[in-house]
Amino acid sequence: MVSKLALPWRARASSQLHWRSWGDEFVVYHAGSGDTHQLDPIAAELLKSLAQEPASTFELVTRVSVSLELEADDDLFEYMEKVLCTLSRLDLIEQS
Amino acid sequence: MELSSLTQCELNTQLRHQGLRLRIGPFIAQIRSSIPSVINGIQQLYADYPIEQESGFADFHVEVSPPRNLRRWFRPQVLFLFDHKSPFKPLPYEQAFPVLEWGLNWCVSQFAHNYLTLHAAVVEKDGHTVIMPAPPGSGKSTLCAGLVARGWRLFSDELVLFSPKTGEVSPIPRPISLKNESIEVIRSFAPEVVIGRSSADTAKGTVAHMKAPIESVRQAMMPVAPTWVIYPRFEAHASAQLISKPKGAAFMRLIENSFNYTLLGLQGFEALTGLIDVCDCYDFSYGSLDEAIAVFDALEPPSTSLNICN
Repeated sequence: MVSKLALPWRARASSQLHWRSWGDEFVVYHAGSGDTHQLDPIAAELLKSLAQEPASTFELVTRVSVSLELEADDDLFEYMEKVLCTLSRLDLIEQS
Repeated sequence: MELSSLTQCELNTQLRHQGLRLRIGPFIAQIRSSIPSVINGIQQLYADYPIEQESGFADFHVEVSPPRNLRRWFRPQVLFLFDHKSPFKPLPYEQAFPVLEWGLNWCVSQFAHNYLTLHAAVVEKDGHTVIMPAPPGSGKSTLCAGLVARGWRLFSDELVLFSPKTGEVSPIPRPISLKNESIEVIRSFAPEVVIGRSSADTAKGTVAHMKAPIESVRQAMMPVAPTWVIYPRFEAHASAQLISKPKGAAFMRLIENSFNYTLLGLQGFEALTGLIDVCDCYDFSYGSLDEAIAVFDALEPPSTSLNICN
């Protein structure tokens, strides 16, 4: 049985996402739902990364830690799991 | 032609019969009413407004009149009618003029979708505008009235009309709605301003309206780009304090203050982010009008920087 952590996440309707940022504050408008969300830099990087290419939680931790120059430790892993849950609840991403 | 050039008889006739066609900022409101407090309120508080004498298009056809039922014999009531239909339940007859004002606010917030509309006060000085969104009871209208009494141009104490096409805010200067203690605060602060009749026991407490300065009315067709978004909050005895507000947080709060952001869809997102791009944003607490006005007079316009991600 494949671990859930290894299953790839993908962005839902990434072409319908419209972004704006002010420094490290990000907002994204989802044209499909009409919802607007404020995201922190990690959530924004994660969503943008998934909009480029699906990835598992493990792969995402590596990607985000490299792009944001963060240590890929347990704290980051735990935080990213929470962010993935939140983005999934907002219907911005889904797991295969 | 201004409303003040009408004789009492002409004003009565227009309001009672064909309707008074009043130009308020970018809109023409055709108003009918035979209620004395409405006629007097319009005569006193809209004296400087242009009126259209020719019949023709009006953005809003409104009427304030008693409902046709037996209630006229006991606890009489008043209805706001839009296109001959009432969107609201009747209110006490004594509240007829505030009902007109609330109804006109409703018309703009419901139908002016060529603008991004926000619930906020707007004032302008030297070509720079302050947008002040705030919930009821935060001292927004009082601060707006104080600023206007000290020379700031009134755009509105209730409504922001932000054009997605031009990136400018259009004025819609109307009487400023003062509530409860703020009525006496403004009477004492600026004895020269005209404040209309008070209506007690409304849903907002006692309400009275302050006349817009004639200069603001005459410049009502002159839009200006926004400069600052400031969230005011009155705190008794507090010193004036202006604290920079992160733009993301300011943006999300502006969504809460918008009437039609969701309806405008992507255009609303682009408009609102564009507004935040060019504005400096602050939280502002104050306990004294004089101190608050000194802070506003000393505001420095922002240097604009954009950071757009696709």
